[in-house]
Amino acid sequence: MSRHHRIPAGALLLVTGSVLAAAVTFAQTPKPFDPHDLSGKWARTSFNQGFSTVPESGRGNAPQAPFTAAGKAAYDKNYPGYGPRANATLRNDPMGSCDPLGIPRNLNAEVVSSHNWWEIVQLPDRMMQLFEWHHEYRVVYTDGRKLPDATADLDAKWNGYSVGKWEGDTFVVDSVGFDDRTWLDKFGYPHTDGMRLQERYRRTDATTLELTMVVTDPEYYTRPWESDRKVFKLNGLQIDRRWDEQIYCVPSEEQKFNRLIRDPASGK
Amino acid sequence: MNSRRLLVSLMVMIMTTGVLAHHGTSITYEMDKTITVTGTVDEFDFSYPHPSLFVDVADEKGRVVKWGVEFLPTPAALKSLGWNKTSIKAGDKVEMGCHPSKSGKPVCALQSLTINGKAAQLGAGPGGPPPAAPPAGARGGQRE
Repeated sequence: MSRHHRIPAGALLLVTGSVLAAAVTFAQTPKPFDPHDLSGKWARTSFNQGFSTVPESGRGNAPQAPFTAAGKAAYDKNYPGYGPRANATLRNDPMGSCDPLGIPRNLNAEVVSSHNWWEIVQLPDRMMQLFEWHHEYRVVYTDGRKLPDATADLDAKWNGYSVGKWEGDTFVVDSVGFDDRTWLDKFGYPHTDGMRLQERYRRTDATTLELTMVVTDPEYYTRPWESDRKVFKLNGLQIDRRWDEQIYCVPSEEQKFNRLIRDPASGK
Repeated sequence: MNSRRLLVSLMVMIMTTGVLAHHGTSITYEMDKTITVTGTVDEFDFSYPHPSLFVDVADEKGRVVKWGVEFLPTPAALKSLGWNKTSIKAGDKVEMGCHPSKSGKPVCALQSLTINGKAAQLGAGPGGPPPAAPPAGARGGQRE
């Protein structure tokens, strides 16, 4: 013989309420993360593709770059393919000939579509940054070595010479020794080989990485020039069409494209 | 339109603009004009930055002029629609809706395409599909 046990309505409500509250709490509990672990595959989600939200970026109204006269003259000799200064016939963007983009341009992430990811690999004595475009990598030494004297006759490198250290939960990278043939971004901002760059990385939650940068280059800029805040989202090692795409800038393909398509189209 | 759909639409619009701006496309072609170009394929180049098509086009006097045609979608975007490097072959007859070059030279940016009388899928955007959605967890409205 079965017996029906009556459950008081109040108790039922209490139990249901407790379960719901636990579910909400679980859903709202942030994923645990180690703020000193920046490793992973990151994709930019902040929209600005330039170094700063200067007017030509179309992404803000930061003041124009603090050019010196020499900096402005160098800027005027760079003809981008983007923005209000875009010049179809004179364009001389290094990207258009598959030349290295360098740092910080690689960190601005060149285009919005599928090739804006990059990966950080942390090793005991250095951090590696791997960039999809060009399949390029960069080394940031974390073994305590000092930055070379920027006034010394450094052997210029596309990505500079970089050392990194933790300041609290912020990973600070200082770099010198850059090759002055690269641009800061797609809008044609120049730098000299005496540029110093500081990058400040901060993992703000399990899936978010933020970066701000400061260029110090007194020959071209009257004061240190700060970037906007770049935001990247962790994609893990997910593989799908977007992430499995293999993108090289192949010089012979780029030359053929320019010779047969882009140059005649622009009247160059 | 709810806020989520509006956000997605805005992102697609913004991202498509980014694709069009790649390598200065928007300053090279008359993006507000479309012409029709008909001819026979000589070569299909399925490579970055944008696939290219080279087509022999006969003018009204029967002279053959080689046209260069730029695809706006990347190979990856086209692959997602089923394309591969043999999707167009030498000898195929093509009819193209095309944005003409600003220089007036026989070069254009592809807007629509039929291959041997069959319409080819280039995606939803102007000349191609909108790029893939941002990664999971991306906050589309996140701005500087």
